[in-house]
Order: sequence, then C-alpha cells, then structure tokens
Amino acid sequence: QPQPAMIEITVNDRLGKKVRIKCNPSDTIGDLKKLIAAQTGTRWDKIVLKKWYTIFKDHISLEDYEIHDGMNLELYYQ
Amino acid sequence: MGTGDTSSKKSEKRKRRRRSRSASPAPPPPAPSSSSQAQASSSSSSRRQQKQPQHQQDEEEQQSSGDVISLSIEETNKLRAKLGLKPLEVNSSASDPKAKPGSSSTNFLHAPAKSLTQAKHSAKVQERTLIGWQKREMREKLTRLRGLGDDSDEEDKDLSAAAWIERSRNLEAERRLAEQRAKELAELDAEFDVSRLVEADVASSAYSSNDLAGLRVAHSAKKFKEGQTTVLVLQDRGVLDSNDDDAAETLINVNMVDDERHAENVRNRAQVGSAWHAANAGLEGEAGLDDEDDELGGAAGPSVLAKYDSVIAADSASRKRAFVLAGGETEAPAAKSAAALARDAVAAASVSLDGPSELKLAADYLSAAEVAEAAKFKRRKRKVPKSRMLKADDLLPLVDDEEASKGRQEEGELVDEAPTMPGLTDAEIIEQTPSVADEALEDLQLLLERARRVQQQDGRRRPRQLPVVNRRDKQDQEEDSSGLPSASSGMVFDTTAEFCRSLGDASKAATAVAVAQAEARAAVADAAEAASFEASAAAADVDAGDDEDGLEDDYSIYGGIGAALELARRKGYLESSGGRRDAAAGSSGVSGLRAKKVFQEDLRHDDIDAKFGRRDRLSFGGGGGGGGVQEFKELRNYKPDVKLEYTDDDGRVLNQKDAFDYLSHRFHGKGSGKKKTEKRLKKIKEEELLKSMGSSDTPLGTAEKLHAKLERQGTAYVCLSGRAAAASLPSETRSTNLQSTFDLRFEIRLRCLY
Repeated sequence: QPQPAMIEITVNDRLGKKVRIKCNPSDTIGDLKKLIAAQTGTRWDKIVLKKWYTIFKDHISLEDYEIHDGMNLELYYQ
Repeated sequence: MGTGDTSSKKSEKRKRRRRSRSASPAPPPPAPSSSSQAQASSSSSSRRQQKQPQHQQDEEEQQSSGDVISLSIEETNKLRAKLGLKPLEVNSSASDPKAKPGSSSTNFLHAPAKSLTQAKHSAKVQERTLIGWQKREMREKLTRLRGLGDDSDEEDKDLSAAAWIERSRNLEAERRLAEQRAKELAELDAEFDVSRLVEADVASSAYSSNDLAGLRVAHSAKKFKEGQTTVLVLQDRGVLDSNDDDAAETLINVNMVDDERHAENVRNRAQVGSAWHAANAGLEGEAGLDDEDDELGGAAGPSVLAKYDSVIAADSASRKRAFVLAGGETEAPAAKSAAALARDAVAAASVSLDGPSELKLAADYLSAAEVAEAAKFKRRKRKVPKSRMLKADDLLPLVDDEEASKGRQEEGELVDEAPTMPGLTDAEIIEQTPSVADEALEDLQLLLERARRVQQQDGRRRPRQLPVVNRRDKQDQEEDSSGLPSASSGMVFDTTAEFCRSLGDASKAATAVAVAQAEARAAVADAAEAASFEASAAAADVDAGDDEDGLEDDYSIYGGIGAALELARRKGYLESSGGRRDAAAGSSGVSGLRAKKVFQEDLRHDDIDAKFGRRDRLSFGGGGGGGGVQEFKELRNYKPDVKLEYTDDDGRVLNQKDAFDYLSHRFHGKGSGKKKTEKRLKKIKEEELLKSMGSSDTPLGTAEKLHAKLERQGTAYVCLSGRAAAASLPSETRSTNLQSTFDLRFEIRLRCLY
C-alpha cells in the first residue's frame, strides 16, 4: 500500500488536551513531539508518546512505527 | 478520514481565535464558540442547518473535555520551517512507492506464497512430457535400426549355409592374394636394393645402447623398473667443464630429480621439526626407501652435527646413487627389498636357541659332588665367627658407654631407645666380612649380635636405674665427648611424657587466669558485692587448686560446707533464688516494718479536665506527686534483679517463645489448631519422660520390666524368639502411656517382656 503524502495524527492527553498534528510519515517521533510541543506549549523533551505500554522512541520514524493516518496516540509527561 | 475539508474550515475559524490567544493551552472562552454558533444560526435560519454545524462542532468538543487543537497546512508548514523540518508533502493523488525510496511500506513487496499443488502439478506434467519424448526417441531409433532379417532382405542374399561358406572362402582367397603380392613386392625391392638402403639409413641414424656406454645416470638403478619407459635428459653443465669423472655427462629424469629434492627437504625438515614429521618422513614418497644409512631399511637416528648433513651429504648421496651405463643391455641390479635386507641383518645377529642337546630331570637330592661343594662352603663359614668372637676385653668400652647413655636420659621416663653397641655398628660388621658373599650369614650374625647386646644391657640396667642418674651426669658427658661413635643422642621424647608435661603447664595457666579474674572483679565491684564475690573467688581458688591435675575432683574432699554448697549450686541441685539478699526496699528485717511514704494524687473521678487535661511529664503514666519529686532514699542503691518467669496453666515454667505463644493466645482469644496442640502436648510429654528417666535404665524402662518378667517367670532368662517366646505373650499391660509414644519396633521386640 502506498503511503499517503501527509498524515494527521490525534494526540490525546486524557486531561483535556487533544491535538491533531499534520505530519509526514517519514517524520521521526522527535519531530512529532516538537510539533506537539509547539501546539500545546510544553517542552518537547518533556513529552512521552505512548500507545498502551509501548513508548515511542524519538529516533524512529512514524512509518517505521506503522503509525497511519488518523491514529490516536497517548500523551504523557515525564 | 474525512476531516480534510471540514477540518480546514474549522481550523480557519479557530485561526482567528488562535491569533488573539497566547500560547497557553487555555480552554477556549465560551463567547467565541457562541459567536460561531450565532454566526451559524444567522447564516441559516432553519433548525437543521443550525444543528448540523453545531453538531459537528459539538462532536469534536464532546470527544474530549477540551478543544481539539489542530493547525492548517500552511500553519503547520510555517511551524515546520521554524523547527527546521521539511514541509508537509501534500499530494492529492497517491504517490508512487518509487518516489520514496527506503520507505518501510514500499521496501517489501510480499511475493505470493509458492503453491504446492501448482508445483506438484507442474512436476507431474514435466515428467509426463519427458517420458513421452524418451518413448518417441526410442521408437525412432527402432525404426532406424535394421535387423538381421531386414539386412538380408534388402541385399537379396541367400540365408543358406552354402552362401556363408562361399563368403568365408572368398575371404581366404583374398588373404592369399595379399600375401603373394607382398612377396612379389619384396622381391622387387631386393632386386632394386631399395630395402637395403632404407635399413642402412635407419641403422646409421639410430643410436644403440652401445653409444650410451659410459654415461652416468644420476639416479639409483632401483628406481627404474622393468617395462617402464623413463625419459632422461642431459643435466645442465657449464660449457667449459671438462669431461672428468666428477663432471661427466649425466643423464637425469626431471621428475625423479624433483622427487629426490622433495625427499631431501622432508628429511631435513624432519630432523629439525617434530617427532611426528620424523616418523612420517618415511611415508612421503621415497624418503624412507632411499635412506641407505640404516641396514635394516629404517631412518637413521640423529647423528653428530645432524644440522649440516643436508649440506655435506647432498653431493655424496647423489654420487652414491648414480650408476654408469655400460654398453649393451644394462641390467638393473637385483635390488634387494628393504625387507630382505632386514631379514639378512637379523639373521646375522641371531643366536641359536638349540641349547644343551640333552635335557635331564633335576634331582631333588644332592649328588656326592654337590655335597662335597657344600662341605667346602661350610668350612668357610667358620672363618667369620672366629675372627669376630667376642672376648672380655671387648666388653670394657661397652660398659662405659652404657652408663654414659644412661646418664643422658631424663628422670622417670621410659626408655624406648634401641640399645647400641659402640664397638660394633651394623655397618661395621658388614664391612668386616667382605669375603663371604652370603647375605643370610650376615643377617644371622647381626641378629646374634643384637641379642647378645640386649642380654647384656638388660642384665645391667635394672639395679642401676635410680642412683646412677643424678651423680654421673657430668662425668659421663665428658666421657662421651672423648668420642665413641654412638648412634643415639641424650634427649628422648616420649608421647606419654610429653602429654603429662603439657597437662601440668595447662593447669598452671588456668589457675593463673582464674586468679587474675578474681582480682579484676574485686577491684571493680562495690563493697556489698565484693563480699559476695570474695566468697565465690575463694571457691574459684579452690577450683583452681583442683584443676592442677586437670581433673575436677569432688569438692567434699577439699574445703568445707561452703565448697560443697558451691558444688551443689553449680550442678543445679539448689535453687539460687534465696541466694542474694535484697539490699533494696527493706523487705526483710526492721526496715521492712517502717512506714513508707506513698504519694497519691487526689483525683476526682468525674472531673474530666482534671483527669485528662493536665498532663505533664511527671503525671504521665506514673501519677507522681504534686511538688518536687525526689528519689527514694532507701532505693538509692537499689538495683533490681528482674526475672520475669511465666508459667502456663499446668504450672510449667515457660521459655520466651512459649510464653509469647501463651500471651498471644490469650490476647487473640484463640489457641493453636489440632496438630499444633498435639505437637505441643507431645513435647510436654517427652519432657516429662526425660525428667522421669532414670539413669540406670532406658527410657522405656526395659531393665525394670525385664526384672519384673523374670520374677514372674521364676527363671533367669527370657526367650526372645521361637516357640517359647510365642507362649509368653503379654497378658495385661500395666503402663500404657509409654507404649503409645515410642518406637513400634522396639515394642515388638520387647513384647515378650510384658
């Protein structure tokens, strides 16, 4: 399946912060965190993205994690 | 995901809101949303239209507690540019996987799995086609072939025997014709002398073996086997070399030269290298065979200056191997195989095993001649004791030395040393009889000497034991120094003596320690205690005195009642409760009768404030006096000896663990379970049994029972097994509680005693 050019991911912090981020599948998690930080106002290195107990690492790209368009990620803070 | 357009719309709306807001993630004020609602309502009057955008908005808002933050593509791109990221790739059409090399989704195109049925089917088809092709080929071959029948049919030949005979005769005739023609030709040649010319030509050009006479061949004749053609070439030589013996023309075979060189190298390497190589040098090619050093055909061992053999022996070896061609047929020398050579060598060195021609039975008895020989022997024997017969003079030095040795011994110790005679040590005896080769004689002699010595010494030792020791100490030492070779020295160490001596030292050390301890204690203790400790110290001294021998004797022997009491106390026969007098609270005597000052606080029971209000450190837990509280004067020197002893319901004294168990049971209101209680009761029972155990009997009271049984029976024995034992079975058992607790095995064996 060919990857779409741009994907939109929803990041939800269960305390009231829900952000939709547009990004490329080739972006890394670190880049995604920076985008989130820009929108939410925290520092990007304080953000932890998780899905259930899987912590997403900063240096791996979204397509490698198989994060597709419309997926929900959990936002936590460290 | 259909958020493409709607999200952009909403994001535009939010854009306006966003610009006004700061970066803080505050939830949006209700006014803008209401304004947007108002806008929506104003734009469309119908309810449905109102509801839809509201619904859409509400949807998002209802999904989370707050707003869903989302940026448009342009804003995102700006943000990305700020962060240093690539702008978003916005392609309406799906991008080719080729455009993005290295993406994980495009890297792997899963090949369809290999279907086994297809594979089988195709294999079958292949097989069938192959078979069909082979069959076709075979058929074609068969059609091409011509059988015997076909042949004859085609050529119209007769199949009869007569035809065949004709054919064979024709062949013969043809052969004869050929021979004739050859003869005629030969005659023609002879007429014209052509053949002769040809032969001469051939003869002149060819070398015969005679021409090769005198040429050296640089290999050994053994290598050239019969029937084998070996090509030899002339060895390279300098142009100006003379044709002497040393530098004559030599023929070599290139391969053989290489082999020889290799064998040499291997041999050289074998000498330098490991034993394995040396052992296996013979296996490689002709290295072993070529070696002519050893007669037996094996490799020679390492010789002197073996390192330089390769240099020295190279030439000589090669020269040795060479042989010269003689004119005519040179026969290779009948090369003896290595095995044959070995056999010759062994045969030369062999010894004949024929032995004496006659074999006789050995006789058990001596013949006359042998007796005469033995007689001669006997005569020689007498010579030895003659020369060494002891005389009285010989005994003189023996006496002095014996006394000297006695002097050196310590008092009261056993003498275990082997007595030595100074004049004749064992070695000396042996030396003096070299002429006699008989060992048995010598041993006999030695034994006799020793026996004589022992006898003599024994006779002298006993009466002289005690008085000699003290007086002659110094004198004998001087005599000793005059120098008689004696094997033994003065000091003798005996295990028993050492042990006894060490005991004495140990006991002295113990007494010293005890005394020191007593002194230390006396220095530290108070007056009241010092008195009691002195008493115990005295007892300790008594103990120390007893320990001199390392044994604890009965105190009743030494000391008076005090010591006896001390002993009793030690052994636990006395209870030490009444030992110490309480210097405390004057419970005994006149002081006990005096009035005691007791402080009591007047508390009103209904006054809560008084009870619980004032809590100072003095009233806390204790309930002390109102004013200044002083220590008890009587109790200044009071040092209580606290002994908390707990007993259970039966009155047994409990140890700490049991006491705690009891306490916790009482506290919690429930005891232990069935098994635990059983275990506990069992333990108690066993303890009691132990206590009631007599020292003179086994725990089961076997001896007592036995005695009782014997009385009943009226006999002095008990039958443990057999018919008699079966008769004496237990009628009634008196003590049942013991039976139940102990080993069944034991019971069964002792049943007859009941």
